[in-house]
Amino acid sequence: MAEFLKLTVLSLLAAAFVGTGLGFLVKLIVDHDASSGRVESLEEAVNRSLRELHEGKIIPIANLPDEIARRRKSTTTRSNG
Amino acid sequence: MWWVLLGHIGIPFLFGAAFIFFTTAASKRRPTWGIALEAALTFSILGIGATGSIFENEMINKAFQVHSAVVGIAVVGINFLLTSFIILIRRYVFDTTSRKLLWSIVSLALGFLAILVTSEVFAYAYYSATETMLTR
Repeated sequence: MAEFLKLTVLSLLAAAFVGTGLGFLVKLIVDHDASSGRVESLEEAVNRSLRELHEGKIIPIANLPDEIARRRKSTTTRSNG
Repeated sequence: MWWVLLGHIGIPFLFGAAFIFFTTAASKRRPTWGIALEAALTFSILGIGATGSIFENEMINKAFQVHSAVVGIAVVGINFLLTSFIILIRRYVFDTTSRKLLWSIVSLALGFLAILVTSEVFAYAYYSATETMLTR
């Protein structure tokens, strides 16, 4: 039983280490390609925009007035202390 | 100690890196975070495939005797469960999250666990067989 538990803990640790290392390798590949300056195709640009919209990095035009008002309000609050 | 690190981290990392490079090179599109999910699924499918050898291995039969079939089926079940988690992450989490690195690490760790579960059954069986030989 002790050996089984030892193996289980070792497995989980190894999975965490390897997963982290490979995750950073993927990040390296994706970041390198993004900074390579290659011009993306129209399809790639559309897919990227849709992805950023899903992730909240792009604000839809319909929501823009509300977002501007919200940011103005938070800037005013910050400058007034 | 070095063989533990090599066997549990070094070699798997080498294979993992190779799969990631294969996936990147084989895709016609720009590399995206989807590479991590594809590599994770490849790992888990490998783990499921390697389970077949469990049923035939003599050491497994010696270690688990009449229960070796149950052990093999349990390993397959665990591997399927881990694979299902990866697919759930791909379907419901990955597209909408901004934490791509974190979920890539989680997916790759789950995929790698699928291979580890199979290999640890072998490791346990060989350990048991060695212990039995030493006590005789």
